[in-house]
Amino acid sequence: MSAKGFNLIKIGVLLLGFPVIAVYALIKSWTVYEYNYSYFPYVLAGMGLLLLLALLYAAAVALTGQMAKKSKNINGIFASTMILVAVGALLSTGVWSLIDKYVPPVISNATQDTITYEDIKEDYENRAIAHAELLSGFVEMNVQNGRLSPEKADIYREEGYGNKEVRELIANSFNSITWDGYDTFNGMLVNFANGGRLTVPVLMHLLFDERQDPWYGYNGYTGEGRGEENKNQPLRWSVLDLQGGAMTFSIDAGGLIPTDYNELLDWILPTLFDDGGMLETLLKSVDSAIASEELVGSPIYVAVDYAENTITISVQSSNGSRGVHDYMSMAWLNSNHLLMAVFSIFPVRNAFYIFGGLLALTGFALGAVRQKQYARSWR
Amino acid sequence: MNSIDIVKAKATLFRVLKVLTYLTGFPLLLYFAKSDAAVLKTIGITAASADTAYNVLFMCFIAVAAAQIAVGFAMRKTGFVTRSLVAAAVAVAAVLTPVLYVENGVKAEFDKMQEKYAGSGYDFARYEKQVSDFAGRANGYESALGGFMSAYNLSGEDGYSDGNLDKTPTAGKDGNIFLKGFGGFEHYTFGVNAGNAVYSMNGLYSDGYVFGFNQAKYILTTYHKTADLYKAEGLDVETELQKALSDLDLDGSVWKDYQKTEEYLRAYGDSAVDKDAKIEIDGKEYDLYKLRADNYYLTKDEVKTMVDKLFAELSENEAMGELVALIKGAAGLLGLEIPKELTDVLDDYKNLGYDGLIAAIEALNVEIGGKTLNEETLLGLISDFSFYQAPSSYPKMFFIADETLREYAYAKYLATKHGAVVGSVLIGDSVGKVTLDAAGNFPMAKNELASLFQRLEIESEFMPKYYPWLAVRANLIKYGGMAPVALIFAYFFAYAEKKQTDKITVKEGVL
Repeated sequence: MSAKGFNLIKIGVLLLGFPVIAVYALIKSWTVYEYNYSYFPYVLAGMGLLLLLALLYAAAVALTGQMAKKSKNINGIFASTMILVAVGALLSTGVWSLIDKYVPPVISNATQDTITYEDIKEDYENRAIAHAELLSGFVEMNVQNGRLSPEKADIYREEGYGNKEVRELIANSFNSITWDGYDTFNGMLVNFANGGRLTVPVLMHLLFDERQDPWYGYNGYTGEGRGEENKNQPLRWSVLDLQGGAMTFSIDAGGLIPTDYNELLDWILPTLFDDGGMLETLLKSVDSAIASEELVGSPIYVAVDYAENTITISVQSSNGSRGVHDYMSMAWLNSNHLLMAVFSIFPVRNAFYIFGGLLALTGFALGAVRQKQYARSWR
Repeated sequence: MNSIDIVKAKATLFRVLKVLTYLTGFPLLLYFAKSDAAVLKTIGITAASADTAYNVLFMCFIAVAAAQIAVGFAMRKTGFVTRSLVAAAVAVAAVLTPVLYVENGVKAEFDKMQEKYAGSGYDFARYEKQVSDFAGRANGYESALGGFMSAYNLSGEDGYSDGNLDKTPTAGKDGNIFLKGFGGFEHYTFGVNAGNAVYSMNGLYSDGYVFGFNQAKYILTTYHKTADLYKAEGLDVETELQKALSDLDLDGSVWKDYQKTEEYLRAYGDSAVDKDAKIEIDGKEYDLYKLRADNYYLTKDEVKTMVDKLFAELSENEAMGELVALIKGAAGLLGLEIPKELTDVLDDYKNLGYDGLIAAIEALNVEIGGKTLNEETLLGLISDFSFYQAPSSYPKMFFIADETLREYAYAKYLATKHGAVVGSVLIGDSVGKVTLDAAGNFPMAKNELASLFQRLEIESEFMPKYYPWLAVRANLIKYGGMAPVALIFAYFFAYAEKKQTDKITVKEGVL
């Protein structure tokens, strides 16, 4: 066989190794990239690592090729083959076992155990989507409340993290809820709220106990027609803002209202509870009282509804109107770019774990071809 | 291949077989024992005791290895058969010793325990049952403990959080920052020997302490035991407790005297405190202002401010007029006559505030649950949020003279009040995790608790001590026979290898 023929076979063998891994990694990386391309270049960290490993492997192929070519007997070829196999094993398993060992504590520390290595390992696609939604949700909330200009809404949606205004607003919002929120609580009870022990007494303490004064400032409305005075005002965040979302309490009113007054109820209930009814109007005053410094110091929206003998009271924090997620989600959003870099590494890692054996196999096969090719010159 | 190569290959083969067979003996046995120890550790048996049995096995292994070396030296001239037989005999002895110890010594202990617990209410299974089912039983222990911990929403033994709201120092049971008692009452720390709780200076748990298993057990046991004790004497513990507490309200009581001390007044005194004033506790400086209890609850003044603010906002709201009309209309429909005081207030809603509201309610003279609705009863509704037990002064119940009753008072306070704050209620209709989004669990009955505690106490005694031995026995019975056999094979392959290498030396010598 001609040298050309051998080269063709060698290329064929090589194609069955690293490229298979790379293609698989690229395919599996697509979701992470598709949803988060605005996190360029962070989101390409996995690809960068893949490229680096590809270069290392290419260098190993080239060097061992030289070594095999120059060798005078079968031992030299054998040694070069073994080096290539060993490099393959190192790249496919060695590097990644080191990452598996040393990266988990780093992630746990960086996210205060809210995200662990195990959470991401096989679930990076869903994670990437969920974290993409943190960003899109943030943009939508703030376009709606005017902290981001509604006219430029499509630009924000398109550019995402790449947009400077969005980036700055994320940083400002996170710092505000951290320094003017989380950090202003005295004592340890705020950890009870975050640790699944938000009891009524803990809530009362967190709402009404003395707190440190806010100082950092919240970047208020910047859109057109908004006053300068709204810019960077320190404001309070209540514990419900840290938790985010709404809380609903149901009271069974069956026993509260005697049934013999049906006529009366038929009249009172709609007046009180209907949309635009009396309670809705009254609660606006309650909301504004709650937001005053004398009470909680930050808005909590109360709504009351009545249906089928059940009174439902829902309590909504100010997150939506202020354009800020709960504290944990804001912490994630604030370091989303770094998390994206982490997420993007996992498809590459898994590709190497699944197809890692191919590197050893093709390395060995390449050695065999080289032996056939170069052994002829010894005769 | 030439013949030397074949001989070399054979020698290599025998060498590999020698190592492999050797590994299937004691090393494999040790590996099994190690994994058993690991399994026992995950189901709550302490590391030290789980390793004891493994360590014993390891000593046996060392003994056999030492015997092999000794035999190797002493019987150099003897054939491999004799040497392997001697080594195998030592191995048999090394395997048998622990088995015999378990079969006799451990079994005797089990028999003793069976006798001891007979009729105690705890069903101690006999040795023959436990020896075959120890893993399942250890799991049972673990899930009983876990079930209790989760039903009552307990934390790890040290609690995951400590510290006081007023930032006064906290201590474990050996802390030296406790208060020094008062008026002939020595300082008292609740449940000091029950576990590793974190305490405030006044001997109660620190504000952020979440009960561990031992403390929860101590509280529940104290609570129920004391109630039973009083019942046996024909008394009701609750009545006695209320009596003791109201006695302390009498003039001249030690509690009244204590309320005049600086220790009490710095937390509950009327006079305002300079915000910059400091106090030294245990060599460290603290803000005196922070020690004031009213920083940590809703005072009447605060409620007043809040209500005033609320009505100030509401008076601006046009719906208030409609509401007044609605109330009047509803009263008309029901044929009720509204007292003049109330109509006055309703008509003048624009100027309604805390004082007006209270006056109107008191004028109505409404009785709810046998109590007239007035300022006091209304504030009583928020009483859970209108008091804070300052960690830097003794609670009233500290001065209950009867020590049994005092311990009961503490247990009840911690189980209900402290538990309600930290989301781990111990006594009540709903226990455990009673939070904004969880309604808690059904409490366990007194007898159920008693037998659970008894079971956990007994099993936490003997299981860690003896179960690792049962695990070793199980392994030795199954795989122990392999050890001598593996040794014999290892010796044989060593002999076979030597024969081949001898050939090489001979051949190379000839060549």
